[in-house]
Amino acid sequence: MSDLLKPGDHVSSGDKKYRVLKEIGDGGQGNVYCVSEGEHLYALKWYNKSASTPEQYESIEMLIEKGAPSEEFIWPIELVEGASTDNFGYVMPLINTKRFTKLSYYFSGDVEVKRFETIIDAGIKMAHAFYALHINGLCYRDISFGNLFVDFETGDVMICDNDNVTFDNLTSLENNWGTNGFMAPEVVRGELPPSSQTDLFSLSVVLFRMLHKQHPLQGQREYDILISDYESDLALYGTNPIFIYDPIDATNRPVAGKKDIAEAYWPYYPTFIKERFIEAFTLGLHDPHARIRESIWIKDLSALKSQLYYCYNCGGQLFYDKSLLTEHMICPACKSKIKVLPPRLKIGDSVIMLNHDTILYANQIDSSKVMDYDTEVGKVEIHPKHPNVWGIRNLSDHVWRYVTKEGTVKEVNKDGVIPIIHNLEIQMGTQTGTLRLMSQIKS
Amino acid sequence: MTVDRLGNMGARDLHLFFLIDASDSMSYGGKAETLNNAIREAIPHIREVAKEAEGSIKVHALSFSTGARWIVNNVDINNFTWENVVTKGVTDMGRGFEMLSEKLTSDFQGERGYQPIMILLSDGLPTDKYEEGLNQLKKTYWGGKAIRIAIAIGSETDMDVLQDFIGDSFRGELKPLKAKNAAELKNYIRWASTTVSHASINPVRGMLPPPPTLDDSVDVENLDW
Repeated sequence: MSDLLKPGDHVSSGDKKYRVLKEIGDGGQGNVYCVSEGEHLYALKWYNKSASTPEQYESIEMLIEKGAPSEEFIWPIELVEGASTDNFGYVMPLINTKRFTKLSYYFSGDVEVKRFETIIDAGIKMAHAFYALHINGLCYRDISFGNLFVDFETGDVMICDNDNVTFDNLTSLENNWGTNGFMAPEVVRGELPPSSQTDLFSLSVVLFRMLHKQHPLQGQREYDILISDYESDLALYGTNPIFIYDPIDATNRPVAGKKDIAEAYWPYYPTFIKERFIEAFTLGLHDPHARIRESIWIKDLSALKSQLYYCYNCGGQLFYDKSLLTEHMICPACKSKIKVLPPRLKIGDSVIMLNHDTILYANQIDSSKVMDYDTEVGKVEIHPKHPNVWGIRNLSDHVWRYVTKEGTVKEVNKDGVIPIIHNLEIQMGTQTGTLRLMSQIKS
Repeated sequence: MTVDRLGNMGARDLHLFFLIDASDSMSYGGKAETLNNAIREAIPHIREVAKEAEGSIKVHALSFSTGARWIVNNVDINNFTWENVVTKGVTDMGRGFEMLSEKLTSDFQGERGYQPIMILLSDGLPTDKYEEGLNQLKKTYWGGKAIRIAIAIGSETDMDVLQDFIGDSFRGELKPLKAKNAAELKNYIRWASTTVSHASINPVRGMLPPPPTLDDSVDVENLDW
């Protein structure tokens, strides 16, 4: 048997025989093939001889025994061997590439994403998947765009290359590798092995890049490097990393007209998310214990989603932030002045935008339900006969209440609608909120 | 509407240089044809690497025989097609190195990029004094920073010359590859243009992952082209 398999070759586990149909990918450790067993199609990772080590075999065995932490992971199903003992591999589910696109393609401009919700939802789902992996005592080691697949219509995600996953207890520095730009600085410097803490750093890089396109550490200092190599990457990501929006050190800002795509996004995000990224790439850059936990990202990204509204001039999406609401505020897409805000729901300190198509999720209404990010509890609707009358349909199992002008308490059960009336106070289960109507921004 | 907004990604490109021996001896035993095919075979795989990179991969190729000439000039991998190499004459490898140095000191002055990859493919001995051209190449900023790979086609190649070309590139860990048959040549060209591209985009401290091995016991002297 050789490192490369040909169509028609067979590999087998104890009781199953898989036929190689075609190669679908390659990498340093080996190639990936599409294989069939009876009527079923699978993916096969086939290790090169040099990567077919007993350690690798045992670690795949461990993963199979443990099982996938969540449905997002393309997890090994079983180990397979060929004719000789030089090589082995494992079969796993075949990813549906009609639906899911490698995240890296988003940055090479091959994918068009219509709405911010898709990007935010994908970020939430990634955070949740790694949360599940980490609470199972595992770490991923190589979170990067090459391993993450996104359905850019729905925001669903898939995580592949799970043969890198190990128990979260690595002590040896021998296998300190990963993808440049995603590895935590202490891994780049070769001081600490990958762990769940270093995964959290990689996750914050992924989230920043999804929301800004630009790398959080690639500003002026990266631009000034003519030919990048191991030494320049070591400085940029390991020994002297500086966030492009570091509040104190301004030496690594985006380069105007050359490397500045982040400038089209960063100024338009709400303060709370910018502060979170500053935390991730200042304190979190240097202290592995100061990394942002997945649940915090889920909370913040869910809040970010609730701040989305539309520019009434071009239909582009904007984020609400009280501090951004000045007479000078412009739409980043069409550059016209923002004059109108949609209706809003204020719960505690948070303000949720009520657009014509907004869906409210459990964790946006009730901050104690952090992980409940995909349970729909309400939906904005426009009255079919009176387009000026908007309401929120109750999709939750809780009874909602409000007090009418006449002073009577009205109950709104599941599928009932609360009208959006200025300053109306509403009770949604255990939470109380206040409604605001559409308003003009004073100039 | 989309989430796209105006701005500059400022991504780096990876430049891939093929230096191809097009001397008369390459026309024997189907070597040139195998090489043409092997490069064509590698193209879709290089495109896959490019899809994952943020910038693009640009291809350059020059052939040397009696004299040297550019046959591919800065072509984006997505538009790249390979024309058959025309073989004729002697092996002016040094002239090839000189032409490459000239290009690097003019067109590439002040350019940003990943570590360029230079792939030398030859089946014989240089007929000119190659050392001068090679020194000139290694002295240029781009030539000095390059990951230089050398592939011998068949067993007649002067391996010392190829090792000299590689020099201390990639911390001196690289050895010339000897392609004993068509399948190996295809394999090596693909490795040099894809796995090495990965290593350039994502520079590592350790060794380059070695090319995959093929299951064969072909005698080096018993060529099967």
